[in-house]
Amino acid sequence: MNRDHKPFIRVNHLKKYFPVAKNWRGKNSQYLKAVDDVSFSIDEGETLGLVGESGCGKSTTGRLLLHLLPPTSGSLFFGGQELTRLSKHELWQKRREMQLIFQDPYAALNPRMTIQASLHEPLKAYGEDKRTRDATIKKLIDAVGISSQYLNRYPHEFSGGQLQRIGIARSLALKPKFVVADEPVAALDMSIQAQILNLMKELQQEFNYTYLFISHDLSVIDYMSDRIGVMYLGKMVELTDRDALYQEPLHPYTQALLSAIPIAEPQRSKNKIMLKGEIPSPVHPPSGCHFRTRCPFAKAICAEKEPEWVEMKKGHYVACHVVQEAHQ
Amino acid sequence: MLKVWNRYRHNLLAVSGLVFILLLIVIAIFARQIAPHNPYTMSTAARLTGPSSSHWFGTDQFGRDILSRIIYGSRISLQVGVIAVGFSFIVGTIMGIIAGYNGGWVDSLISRITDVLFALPDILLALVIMAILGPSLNNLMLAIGIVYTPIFSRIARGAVLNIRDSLYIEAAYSMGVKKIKILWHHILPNILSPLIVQVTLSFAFAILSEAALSFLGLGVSPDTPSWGIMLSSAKDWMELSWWTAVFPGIAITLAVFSFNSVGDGLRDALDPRTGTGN
Repeated sequence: MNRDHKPFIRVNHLKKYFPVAKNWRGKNSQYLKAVDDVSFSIDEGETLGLVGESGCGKSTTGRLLLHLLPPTSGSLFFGGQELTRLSKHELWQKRREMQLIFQDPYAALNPRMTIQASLHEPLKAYGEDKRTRDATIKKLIDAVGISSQYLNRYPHEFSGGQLQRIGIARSLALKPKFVVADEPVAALDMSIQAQILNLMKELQQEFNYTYLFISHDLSVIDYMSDRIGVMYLGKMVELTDRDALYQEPLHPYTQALLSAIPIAEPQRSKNKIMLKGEIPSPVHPPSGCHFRTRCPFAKAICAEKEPEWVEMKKGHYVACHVVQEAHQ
Repeated sequence: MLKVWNRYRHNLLAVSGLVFILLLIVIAIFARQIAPHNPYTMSTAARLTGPSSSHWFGTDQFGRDILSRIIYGSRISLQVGVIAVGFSFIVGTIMGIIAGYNGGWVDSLISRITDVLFALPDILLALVIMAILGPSLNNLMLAIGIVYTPIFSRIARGAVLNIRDSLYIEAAYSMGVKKIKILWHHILPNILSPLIVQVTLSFAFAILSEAALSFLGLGVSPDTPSWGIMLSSAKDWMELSWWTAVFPGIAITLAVFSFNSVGDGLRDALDPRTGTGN
């Protein structure tokens, strides 16, 4: 995909801290730093993959981008507009253009509403008349391959794959420009995963959607993304083109992640990098570099200073002391 | 709506309950035409006579026809049940939804009010309200309504808290659905089940509360035919004349049972996940 480098989404120093404890005066004293100083941009029509272990802040980042959660600090540009400065009504108008696809499509649909009612709902909310709504929905469910005779059924009468296709249809009903897909295939069978991913790609080609694709599955991310960001404990540690990431990962964490991908060649020997220990608590992250406690290359400086977010090569960002020293 | 009825239709108990309630409504409306005797006419000669062909359910200590009094009594019982419970259901549910959905100081305020109401015994609270408002049927229904409001408020609040953070609420919000629509289309239908069960239970308690308050002289006047009054005045005579207590008791039991089975049927019919639905 050729990119014209027109950032559609821009995020600068985005932070989201959740208060987890209060002191005796009722003031927040401890925070869970779910997203801690993250900056990146997404071009129009591009898919940015976001990968990391569970609890690393991927989903929170996605929800911050849609302004479903207000950020603690940082700025957030959507098509040139700063979302955090919009009034309630302006934000509501902008919501049309940005949508979320959920991991669990069953939980995302009201169990007491027919699929028909659920599909109509977002269009109704923006005041579309019945004829337009019917036409839009007819086109959408054709596109995702659901028969219109099922429209009167309830969510519990569908399979997971069908529900996710309905979920996608619903998220796209408003013709958004930007779609956050939060682990859209994690809850589905392998065979259905491919179906959903291909559907999302086809729709993207047809309607030029900009995707933020969140997953912990490296092969899914590889398949979907143009560029990939790797997150660890609320920080982005590496961000680059897909090919660059898979061919020459720079950050030790990315290297460890990639070495964990199973290869369908039992003869071939692999150097699997085993990480020691558990992911630390995001309430008490390690000093300096968050990854240093599990990093095989950790040095003294890693505990003292937070690594800076540096563009090592064109479009290849890394936050790591070791890598940055080696390249000097 | 049609789907709900289709699911309801298959529940025999619920349908019989509904039929009985409709019958009760007809009886209440046409009490004058149906009742064989005047419910107020006393007769010293016919005091406490057992069931017979002229008095099917016997007579009470003043010689009044019990069947006729039960027929007229359905008016008051239905009125008290429907209006008092309807009041507490509507007011309590709105309070509970507002408290649960908004949280913060609004929640604290509403929850403290319900706590205060809960702290007082039901009858005592109703007595206080009746003492302030004065005895009359309308005030009686209002008092009973106020007494049961905190129950609905608390149930609704708990149910809202349970589903407020559901994914489908977030999904609706992220698709630009306005707050009031989310409350009406997503929250209300999903908290209705426990509330409906409570409505049917409260109906029974409301009929009994009416009896208790009337007995204490704060409800309707003692000569008015009401199932509650009949039952409470029968307690002095039932060792000698069982019919004075049994027939009003059966009337209350049947009405309460019908409302309960209608409530159960409604709860199941409103949930698309139960039953066939086709």
